Amino acid sequence: MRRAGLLWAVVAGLILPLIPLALWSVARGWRFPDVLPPDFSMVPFHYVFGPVSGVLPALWTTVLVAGVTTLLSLLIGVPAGRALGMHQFWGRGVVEAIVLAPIVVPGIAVVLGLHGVFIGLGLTNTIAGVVLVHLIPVLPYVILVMAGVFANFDSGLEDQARSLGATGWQVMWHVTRPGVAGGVIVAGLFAFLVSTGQYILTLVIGGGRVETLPLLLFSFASAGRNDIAGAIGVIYVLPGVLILLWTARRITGRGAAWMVRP
Amino acid sequence: MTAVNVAGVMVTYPGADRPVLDGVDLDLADGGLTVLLGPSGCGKSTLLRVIAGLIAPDAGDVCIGGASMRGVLPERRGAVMVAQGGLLFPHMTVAENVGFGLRMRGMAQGAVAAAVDAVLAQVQLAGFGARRPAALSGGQAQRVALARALVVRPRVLLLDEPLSSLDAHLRRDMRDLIRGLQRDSGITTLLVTHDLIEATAMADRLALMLDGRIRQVGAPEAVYARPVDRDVARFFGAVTFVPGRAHGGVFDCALGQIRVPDDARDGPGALVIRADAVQMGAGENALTGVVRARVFLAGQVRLDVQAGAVSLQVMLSLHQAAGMEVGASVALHVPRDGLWVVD
Repeated sequence: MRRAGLLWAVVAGLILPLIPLALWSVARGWRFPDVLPPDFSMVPFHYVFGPVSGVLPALWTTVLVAGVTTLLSLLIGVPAGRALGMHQFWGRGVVEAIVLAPIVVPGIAVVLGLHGVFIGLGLTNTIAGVVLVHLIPVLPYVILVMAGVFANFDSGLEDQARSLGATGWQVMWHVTRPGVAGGVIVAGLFAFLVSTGQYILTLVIGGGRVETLPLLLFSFASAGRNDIAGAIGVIYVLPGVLILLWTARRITGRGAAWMVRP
Repeated sequence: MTAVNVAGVMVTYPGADRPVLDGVDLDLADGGLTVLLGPSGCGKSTLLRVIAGLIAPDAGDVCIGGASMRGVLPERRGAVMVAQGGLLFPHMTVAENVGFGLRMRGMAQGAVAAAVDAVLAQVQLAGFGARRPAALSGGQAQRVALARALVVRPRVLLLDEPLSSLDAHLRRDMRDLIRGLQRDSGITTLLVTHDLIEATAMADRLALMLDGRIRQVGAPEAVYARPVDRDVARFFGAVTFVPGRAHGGVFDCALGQIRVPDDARDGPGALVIRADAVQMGAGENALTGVVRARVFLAGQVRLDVQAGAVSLQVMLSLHQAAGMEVGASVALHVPRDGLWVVD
């Protein structure tokens, strides 16, 4: 019973703040001092999914940028996490500090300097540039998650597989991959969500040409269109919630049981 | 078929001030079971990993079947390791674990299944194929690990403390199982252990390792009765060393003129008196002493006896020790076959 109560408290804490957002997206003529909207309509959603608003292209851009960022961050972060989680090496402390730095240093402090560099490289106003700059806040999460996963992975299993006649690639596929897959899913989820949440970095490097959902959301919100901002907000939140619900079963179910050493 | 020759192997771990393997030479007889015995941390497991190819030695070489293994990958050596505790793949069933090596070699599914069933029966685990490793006892996991190694027909089997994770009553069964399977298969085997009983019970040949060096190799009984030096003797449980000088089968020391085996070295040295070599009553090399302490050790009795200037440990059966309380005078003798002389 107490566990159920705690669960509901967490759910309420996560869901309640989103209710005004959802209300705004279907409200009509909602003004002070009304507690609830006097009338409902689907007009904001019709507008949002219509050709004029630019929401659908922005959604596509957001997913594309986040998807590519996730893939690249895993390509870099999984081997880096393995090195940090499994091996002792000279200069390890320095590497860890560098990996952690983007979490400590605010993005805005870096991005203005980077803007100049990216102009020189011709990367401003491009999807590639935005992906590259998203890697800065995304990589620390991926590397730290994977370092933790690999620290709990028994490298003796790899040696055992080699000794039984498996080649390096076979070991990676049949022993290492199943052992860390749950962790890779978590790290990828983090990467995707952190990337979709970026505002300043996208704005500066994308120069307004690369328009993602947060940018659109902000412009409607600052224009006072709470109904449309609410509708975009619902669309914006939905993918994260869906991914979370889908992966939660895989992460907590049998899929993750063997991640833990017996 | 497959002899293994280790020659001059040196390994120093990064940051360590002393080598963990300091010039190790060891030959494993073809088809025999060699036990590598030594205290924890003496480098036994490291040597196993060097032979398996998981650690490259700084110097020296390992030959398997006459061919140098320098630069040969672990998966191509045919030297399969069975790690402490079994180290089963947790995400695979017992059958998948056992069939792993064969699948990696590209064997057809049906053939793998047949081989797995056969080897599981050999280790008395028929019908366990569908279980998960987490659902196995320590002894079962160890037998699965053994089956997983045997099924690939390795040239060399490397067993790292296969009994240490087992309860005492399971050890003897497992010991007999390993010994039997090894004899039947004729696979050249190196078994690492720190347990004296285990080592002497299983070995065709016994190699004693101390501080990264092989100190003595031979039949278990020979190493036990004829230690090359004081460290080896001490490892085998000897506690009494009496300084003196040997000449022509007689050892001159504080206990008087003691007859020692004729092949004992001449010159200054120490007389090794094992606790189990001392017998009660009169006989060769008779001594008298006073009981200083008496300890009952589950069926045996250990007496500390003061014989002149020498303090002796004596191990007796409960029956023999009757009436030998602290303070009693006792007559002892030590037949020369139970004595040895070291530096």
